[in-house]
Amino acid sequence: MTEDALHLTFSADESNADPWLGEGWHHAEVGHRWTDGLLSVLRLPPFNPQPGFALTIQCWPFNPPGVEQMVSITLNGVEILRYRPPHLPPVAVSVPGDLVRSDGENLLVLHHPHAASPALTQEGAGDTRMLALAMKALDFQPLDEPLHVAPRLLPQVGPPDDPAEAKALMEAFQSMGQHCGFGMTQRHFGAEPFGLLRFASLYPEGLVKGLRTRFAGVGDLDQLSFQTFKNSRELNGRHATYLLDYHTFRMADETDVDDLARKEARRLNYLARLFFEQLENDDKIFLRVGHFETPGEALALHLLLRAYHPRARLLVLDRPPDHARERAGRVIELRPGLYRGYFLATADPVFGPFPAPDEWLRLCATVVAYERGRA
Amino acid sequence: MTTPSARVLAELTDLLRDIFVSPDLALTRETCAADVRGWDSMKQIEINIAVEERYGIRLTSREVDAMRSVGDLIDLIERKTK
Repeated sequence: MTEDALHLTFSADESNADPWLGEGWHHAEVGHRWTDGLLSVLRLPPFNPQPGFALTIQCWPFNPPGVEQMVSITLNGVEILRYRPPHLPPVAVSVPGDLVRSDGENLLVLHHPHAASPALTQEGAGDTRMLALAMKALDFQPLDEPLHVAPRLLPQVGPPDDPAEAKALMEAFQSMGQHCGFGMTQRHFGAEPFGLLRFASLYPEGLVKGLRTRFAGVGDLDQLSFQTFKNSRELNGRHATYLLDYHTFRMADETDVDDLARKEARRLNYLARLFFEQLENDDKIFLRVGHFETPGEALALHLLLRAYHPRARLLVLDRPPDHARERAGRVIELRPGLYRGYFLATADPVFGPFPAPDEWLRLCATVVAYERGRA
Repeated sequence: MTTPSARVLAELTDLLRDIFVSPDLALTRETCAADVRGWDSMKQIEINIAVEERYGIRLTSREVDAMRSVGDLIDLIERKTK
């Protein structure tokens, strides 16, 4: 039977990958399944013909001291990706449609020549298995718009002079919570959009989990806790399921924590609902600041958003790589609706390297002007 | 006789007095966030949730974004509770 798409999970408590596993796998554990040895194989089903597909892999590497995993992935004998797996974010790659079989199995092989044994690389470890990747999830899905072969540099646009325009520009974006910096920048320009993640910080894994589950249980009281940090009176919230840390803007010495918890549970539920409404209506350009090693990480995030709307838009922001410092202040289009912006490394006392307000404005204005030109 | 708008305005005034812990708070249709001390985006979320619970309605993201004054909120409530 041919498939349109496949979503495989490898955790013991929800694994559906077993029918497709070939050689090179250990037993499933809670949260993941380790590869075994130097290569691991998945025998995927035939897929209905499509112009293109996306393969998304979420795993984390076994990188003991002195070892860094490098993975080469082949599909039906052709290499489609060679990369150093990051620790948490999923990575996606475009796969040409003519590489995918519709009349027989699709052989996906992960070559990981740096597999290592904990017993040989970590003092006191007794685990003698040869580990390389802890696989969490793998998606294979149609992809109508692959990454551009040569990313397009967008014409640079200056920041608006009119404060009302600057406010409207800031309101066009919705933060996806690398930290609260963009939310504060929106406030700097008078924009106060509602956002579940606007004043929040969460790791890619929590974000991916939230996007896959519509942040299920985000209002569960038993997952919420509050604490103050050094030199601050503010109570900060934490949601354990998503490792979501966020500002409450409530001071510890003025707040009944039980009352706050009840209110926050309702507030988070409400904001999650709005977040997905905005996503499903394509009302905002979603934005994430982070360290994106490869365009594949941005593509994986974009595909998660596009599960909610076929034209969902994403701007990821990062510092330019050392070999391309001239990209600072510029935005490139990786594929329609997916943008990557680069900012100068302004040292912020709280956030570390972070764009200055006007730089935010310029990057956001560049994306919005480009989209208007395309419309 | 009290009009539906006046009734909703009175109910909203009670609701916002509780939220702002301000028994003297007075609202008109023209009142907007800038007119009330402490009415920021966090408070607006509290208000939206309280309105949804009080009237058993759902305010969409677009409706919430378009609201500029108490009058807009009253109109929305009236439309949704008809």
